[in-house]
Amino acid sequence: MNDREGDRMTPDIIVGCIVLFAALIVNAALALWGRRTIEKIADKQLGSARDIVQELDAKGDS
Amino acid sequence: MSGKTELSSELSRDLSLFHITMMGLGMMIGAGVFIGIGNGVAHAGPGGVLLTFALNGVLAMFTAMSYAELSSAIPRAGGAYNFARLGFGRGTSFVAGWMEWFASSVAGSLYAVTFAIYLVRFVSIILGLKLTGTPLLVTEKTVALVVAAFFIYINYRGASETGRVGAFFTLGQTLFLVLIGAVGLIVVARDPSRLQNFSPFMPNGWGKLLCTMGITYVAFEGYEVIAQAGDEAVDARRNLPKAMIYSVVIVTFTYVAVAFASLVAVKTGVAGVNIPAWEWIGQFGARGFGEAVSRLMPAGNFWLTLAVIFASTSALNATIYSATRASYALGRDHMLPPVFATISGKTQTPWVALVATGVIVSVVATLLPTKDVASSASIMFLFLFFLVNICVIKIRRNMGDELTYGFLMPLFPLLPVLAIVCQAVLAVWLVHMSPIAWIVAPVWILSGLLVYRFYSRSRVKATEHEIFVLEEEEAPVRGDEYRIMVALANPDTALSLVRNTYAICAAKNAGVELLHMVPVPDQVPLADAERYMVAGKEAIGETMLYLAPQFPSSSTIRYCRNVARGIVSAVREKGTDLLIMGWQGRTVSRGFTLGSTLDPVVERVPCNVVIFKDCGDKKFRRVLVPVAGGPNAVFALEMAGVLADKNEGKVVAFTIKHPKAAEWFDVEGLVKSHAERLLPRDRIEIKSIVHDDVVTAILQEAENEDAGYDMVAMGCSLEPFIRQVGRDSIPQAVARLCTKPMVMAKSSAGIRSWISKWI
Repeated sequence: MNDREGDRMTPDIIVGCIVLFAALIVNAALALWGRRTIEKIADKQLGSARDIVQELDAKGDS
Repeated sequence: MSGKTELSSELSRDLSLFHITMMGLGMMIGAGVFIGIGNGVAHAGPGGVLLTFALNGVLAMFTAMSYAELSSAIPRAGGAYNFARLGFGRGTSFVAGWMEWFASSVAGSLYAVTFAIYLVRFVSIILGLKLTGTPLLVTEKTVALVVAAFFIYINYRGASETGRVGAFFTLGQTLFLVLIGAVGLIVVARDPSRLQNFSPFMPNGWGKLLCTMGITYVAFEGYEVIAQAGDEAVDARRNLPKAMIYSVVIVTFTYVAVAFASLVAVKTGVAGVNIPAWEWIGQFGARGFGEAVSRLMPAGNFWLTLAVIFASTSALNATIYSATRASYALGRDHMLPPVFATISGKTQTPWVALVATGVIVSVVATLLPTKDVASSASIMFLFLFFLVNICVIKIRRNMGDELTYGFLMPLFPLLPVLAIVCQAVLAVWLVHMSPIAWIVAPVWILSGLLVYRFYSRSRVKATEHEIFVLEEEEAPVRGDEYRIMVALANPDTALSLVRNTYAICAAKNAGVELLHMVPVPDQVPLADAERYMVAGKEAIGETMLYLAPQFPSSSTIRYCRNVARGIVSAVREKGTDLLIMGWQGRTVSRGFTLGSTLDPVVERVPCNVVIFKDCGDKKFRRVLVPVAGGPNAVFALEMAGVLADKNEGKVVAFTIKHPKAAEWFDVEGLVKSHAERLLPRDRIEIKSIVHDDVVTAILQEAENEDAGYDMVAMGCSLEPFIRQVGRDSIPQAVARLCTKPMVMAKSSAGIRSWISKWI
């Protein structure tokens, strides 16, 4: 590492970091969305897929 | 269905959200992550291993969403077996349960052996105690058997004990991994030069990423065990999906943090490391993680060994639990001997299924080479996930209205489709890893098919979602006969519906099947359904008298929980060409266009459909048929010709051009190109008008007294009922508003009907 190669931001590192953070964000976003949906379905006592899709559509969530 | 032979089978509900989340984590954080990091670094490099865990996390989340949706709707022990039962029927579900039982049991034996190896290592190397007089292998196998027996006993003690003990071990190992991640961040904060270990980021290219994803995907398959807790979880509809989502997101972030810490644990040029850190870690392969972590913290080797022991035990506990519930579910539905569903009166656990699972775990742990069999288990898990992702699409499509969901995934069906594609790639990759696994897995599946064929098929107990034939009267059927099915609902209108059918039967020289579905409320046992069939018998009897002298006629009375699915099932089973139904002309169910039965039937049946509205016993001299192209319009024209009075009946093909449209629709061309199916040309009139509102134009024309229409026939193109909420297509709007007798015709020639015929 004497040539200080490690200090350079190569295209691989840039793309890799973008993919890495994007994957983590997608993962966390799906988890948060899922939790919110579960609570909403339970609170509003929704049941069928139709009712839930209708409710989420109305709120622009789906 | 006799009550005397039924076994009492109910599990106790005492697993909280924390317990089931920990069970999922326990199954995930097993050998996969410890072995996967070293191998991952060797193949994909320092950046590749981080991406491996992050991308696997996304892929696992897709399948977790499918599991979460299905578990929230069908919260019963059995997991993928239950989903396949509902989505595909008995044969496929048996194979799913059979694979699930074997895969989980073999995974359990693998964890028992892993525990034994590390415990013996811990005792002999780290604590410095010498094991003398007994060969190492025998000692390890003995320890594996003892630990397997211990966890079988823990599982026997009950779900709560299982959850508590598993939670204790899982919490320990998860905290340890989080600690490693935290130490890694502290080390980098103190010495940022260690970030140079990530350069080059992907030394072996991006293609290697797929290989490492395949190796480590096993470290994400914990949602199966959570699904198995459906009968035992508190507030299962809400907690099962939450536990699945939480466990995936926790392991994803933990794995990424741990992989990061492993890579910064080693510093090039220090303590004998003369090559780039990632190469140094990678050269140890599966042990790479341990070698790296031992340099990260004081007594790293000790703590690591302890963590692996914790991980193996929690994974063993979870897999025994999962395998037991899979075989319990097979026994519960009599696919395996019902004794498998025997519940201990003392501990409320399925002890026979547990013993059977214990036998498999013990035999495999002591006698068989576990590496290849474990690969077979991985392939079966991938097959299971593949199946579950198809199930989630099929079940929402076919039963979305009758199930009670606690969770619905976003971006449906994109996520399961993506998961299916990725899992297929990973399963193929496993061929390269263990060719023997691709022999063992099919052999196990084949043996399952034989068990099903010679044992389960004749004994299987019907579930409440299935449909039963109460009475059936078959007429001899010619092989090439056009088959018409008339679904009768109301005895008062049955005869008028059949009278309208008469003309179609004559035109098609068809055989007729009269079907009456008896809906039985959920609260009533299916065995008591007979009292609901009196009205249906009356309707069938009357219409048979009318049709039987002229056409080959059969009749069926079935009972079911849901009429729409019963009709679709009967259409598929009988190979029906045309389904005829009646519509009362109004909808009482909110959100439906034609009703909660007609909408899903029209959407799903893989045959032509004709719906009569208020047609009675009338003569139709002039029939209005709005056309704008497509198979439904042609079919509507054809049906209009069949139903129009034989001598003086005329059909008016009616087309509307919007003022801004450049061209007229070519009705003449349409009629010419389908001349053989339609009335002679001199009995078809063509009428074209310009109007900016198609629905209004059709309704005005239908009510035009000068034109003297007796009936309106229209192509019926319902949107998928799940998506049509808040929208009204032209046929739907006309159907609701038109006061004339009406016939709606849907052809099976469209691409969607073709797909539904084959799926």
